[in-house]
Amino acid sequence: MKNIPEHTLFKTPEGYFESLGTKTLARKKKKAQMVVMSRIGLAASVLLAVGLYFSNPFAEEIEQSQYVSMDAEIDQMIEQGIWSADDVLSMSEDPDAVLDELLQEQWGAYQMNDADLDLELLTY
Amino acid sequence: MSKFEDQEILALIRDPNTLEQGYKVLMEQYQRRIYGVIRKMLIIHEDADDVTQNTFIKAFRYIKNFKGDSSLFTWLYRIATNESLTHLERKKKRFLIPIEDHHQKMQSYLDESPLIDGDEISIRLQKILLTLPAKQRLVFNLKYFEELSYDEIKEITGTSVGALKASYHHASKKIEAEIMAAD
Repeated sequence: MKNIPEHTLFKTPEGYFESLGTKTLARKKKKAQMVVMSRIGLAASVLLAVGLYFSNPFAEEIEQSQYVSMDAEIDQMIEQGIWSADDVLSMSEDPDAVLDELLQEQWGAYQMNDADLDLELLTY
Repeated sequence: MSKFEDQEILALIRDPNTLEQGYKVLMEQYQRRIYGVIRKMLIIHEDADDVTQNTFIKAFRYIKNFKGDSSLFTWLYRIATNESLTHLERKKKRFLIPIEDHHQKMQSYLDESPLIDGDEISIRLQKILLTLPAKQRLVFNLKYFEELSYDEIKEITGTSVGALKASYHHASKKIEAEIMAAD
């Protein structure tokens, strides 16, 4: 171990650090804009959903019963071994989000999920 | 650039008139070390670039709540190491991409990228490090390359000094054995 040089072998493109600050601040602004847009989108969706609900009071009951019956069918397919976990993931619209959600639930003690880290950073 | 004290940087950031300048000073002061620790974990420059930016964006978001119980550097390292591990875990679990793929990608990067410039033994050390679990590799990097004390690493990782010493010792022995076996 003593013979191994400790200098870094990792190089960066020329001028990388000179532009990193500007790039990061630009990304920060873009992210902030996206958060605003997604909040507007969410508010619009809520308004739309409320509007639809009041225009058709039975819609929720019908949709709820469809979901319950669909969930039961999916459970049955998994229990009978007809579908594997991969099959279910491949049918999901966003399998990465499903996996990320599982990962957040199962990740160990040291590494915190974003929410935990956020909480910790608030009180550090 | 002259070196700023943590309190000077925090003062700049807390004043709305100098907020942007404060962010820039914070980055200029710490970006190389933060990038360095992330790059050693992620190997690939593009990944390290992405995670470095996210680390600072997260720091900007919460720095107004920073109470100064530790140094800014320790606080930033904590975010950086957590972001790096999360990045690796996401790559590992990414749907339809086998675990070995990203590991293989990092190994190949060490051989082929123009952004790797080291002697044979340094590259071999990095390849051996890649065989260690990510958290063990992190502890080794912080101790060996960043030359941090166990107390500093304890503050960054939230792990006891005893466990850190055991982890570092285990990693060192494994590396030595691998190097001896290859010679």
